[in-house]
Amino acid sequence: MRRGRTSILTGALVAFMGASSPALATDTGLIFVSNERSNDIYVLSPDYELVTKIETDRRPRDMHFNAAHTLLYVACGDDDVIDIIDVATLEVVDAIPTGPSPEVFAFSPDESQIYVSNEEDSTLEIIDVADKIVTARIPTGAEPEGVIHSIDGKTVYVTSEVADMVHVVDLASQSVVKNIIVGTRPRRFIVTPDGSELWVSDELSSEVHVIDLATLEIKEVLTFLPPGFRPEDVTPVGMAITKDGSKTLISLGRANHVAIIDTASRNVLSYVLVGSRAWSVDLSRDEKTAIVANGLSDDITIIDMGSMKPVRSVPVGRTPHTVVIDD
Amino acid sequence: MAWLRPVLALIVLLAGTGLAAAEDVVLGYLSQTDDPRYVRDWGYARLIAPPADTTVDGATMALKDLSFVTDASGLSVTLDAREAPDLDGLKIALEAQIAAGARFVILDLNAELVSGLAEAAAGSPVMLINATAPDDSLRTACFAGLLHSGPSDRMLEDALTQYLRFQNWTRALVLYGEHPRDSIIAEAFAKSAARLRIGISDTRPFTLAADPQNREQNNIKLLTGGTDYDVVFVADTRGEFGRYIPYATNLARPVVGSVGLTPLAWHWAFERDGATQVSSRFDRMTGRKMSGEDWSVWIAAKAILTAYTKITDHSVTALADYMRSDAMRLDGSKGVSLNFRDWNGQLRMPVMLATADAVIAVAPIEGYLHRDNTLDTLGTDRAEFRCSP
Repeated sequence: MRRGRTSILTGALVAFMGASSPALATDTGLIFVSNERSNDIYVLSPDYELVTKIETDRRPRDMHFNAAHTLLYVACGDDDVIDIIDVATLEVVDAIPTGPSPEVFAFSPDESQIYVSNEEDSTLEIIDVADKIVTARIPTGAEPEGVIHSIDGKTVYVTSEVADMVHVVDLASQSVVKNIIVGTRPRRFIVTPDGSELWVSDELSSEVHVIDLATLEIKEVLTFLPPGFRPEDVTPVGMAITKDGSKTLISLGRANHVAIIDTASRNVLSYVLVGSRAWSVDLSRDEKTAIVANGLSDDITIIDMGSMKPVRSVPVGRTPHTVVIDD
Repeated sequence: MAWLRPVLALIVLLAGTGLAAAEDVVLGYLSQTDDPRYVRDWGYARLIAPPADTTVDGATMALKDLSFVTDASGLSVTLDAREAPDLDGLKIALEAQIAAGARFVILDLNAELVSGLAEAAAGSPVMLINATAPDDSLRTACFAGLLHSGPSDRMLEDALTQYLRFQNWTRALVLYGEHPRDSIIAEAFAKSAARLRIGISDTRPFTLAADPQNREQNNIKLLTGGTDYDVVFVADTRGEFGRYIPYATNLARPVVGSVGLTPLAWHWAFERDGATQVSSRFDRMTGRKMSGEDWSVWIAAKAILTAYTKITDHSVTALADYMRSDAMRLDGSKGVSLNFRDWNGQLRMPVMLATADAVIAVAPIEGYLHRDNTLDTLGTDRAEFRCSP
């Protein structure tokens, strides 16, 4: 939001101070969808009606709440900032500058640091949230994307889409300690809740690599094939896992399906038909609902986890990237 | 090739020492000095930016892009780029590259030079990759040691005719110029049009000279008059005549081919599938827009280095076999994975249909299906392909 940043900042200060009180976390049930091409976030009510559109800096992509769910952070790739949205007032109240083209980020467990991949200059940046300054810049392979930390918070994993590898970054020494070669164009991660496995989606080799976090070796390579599709149509990107780790959702991109799998046995429980080029997927807190952003049909699809069927699709802005639910 | 033997012997000796040192990979690149295809004052109307005078930047960028993974794989990669004015000079340069250890050499050369080098290199332990000569004759020549990383004429024209069919523009007027490549392009379009049943209302040559006695061939109004058509197809390698055809036709019809809507390996305005990052890295490195030729060189280098990092047998045969197999899932930032066709060494790829500043469509156009791989709707398919050396 190059336009009128100062007025927003002044107006926001009051709201920001109010919002920082954890008492205001209200489990609104609101659904937030970042739209890369319309530079806004659609806010939908729990019954999927449009509440408002929040204008952000250009190209909003990955989003995360703080633990208290009072603030929503949004990486804006074309303005090199992470915007901060007050969940109570649904306004952008602040922004943290980043390196060029932030795409995906993660908070440290204590929320004092942000780890962000900057796809244009091939770095992982560590940003101090309170001071809003970059404290470390770690070179990665070209086009870094997925970022996640280990459960103990000591290690960060980053994918490089061009180098086809996962970088293992030790936070104490702030250096890459290992590179793990995975499939073609690795995108996103999940860590299983028991902390034993790191899953990586490989968009162009149609695979998910399962890495054993104890040994940092590849343990298994999973493939998916919804009926009627060819292997090359399957381009896995977004992933989500239930809190007990029993089920994993994997969006299959151009195959227009989400695979719901039994995590332990790796068996596919269902292929759910969604919109065009399914990417980011998120689960509601009660895990009764999953929502997937469909990048090429500009809508989101709601999946009922009980029946594992699509319930409905809801139009959003242009090129939806990420969905998060405030509950 | 007797001169190779000492080199091979040396390599065997080195391999025998069993040192755990990094493996050296020499990537060759050959171009023609003052290649007439890249002369600027021919005015490539479809490009806003000045055309590349060298595509070696594409190879340089691929080395940088993959440096993390090649380092991690213990490969020490160097680029050996050379140029020469003619075939004899290029042959000497290629021999020197092979002697320096190059096992893959990327060629940014016209079809005649590619063909000459491929013949000369037959039997040597080197794989050539033709990046920028689109001629189908190079594909049907079936050189054992030659792959193609740029699209063939037929692939480009198939992409275009898919779009014409999709738009229901089913009758084309074909105009072609005097450059030898113009007839080749027009012929590829005719074959492609026949496959998708696009009618050709007439095929007419044009000339640049303004001689009034020859006005049927140099006056655009007359050239496009006296017949009906939905679209004008122009085959004009130099682009000097073609750029004046849009908005000057006798009937109000779109112009496609060498001008107007053009089929290309790459266009800087494509913004899906990570294409923006590739284009902007190139832009930052060179100060110019990435062209289709730059992309074809970039993807050739990327394919070679990817093969080195994905398989352990680094013999030329094993690497090339891998590149021609379904196991190769190469990322060209066009949204689908790419590999080389096992029957003619051609890289499968989507083709962009672009104007000067926008990508209008990407072929295969949705709805064109194929029993093996949708990308095989572009170019001569396995069943119809015949080697004719």
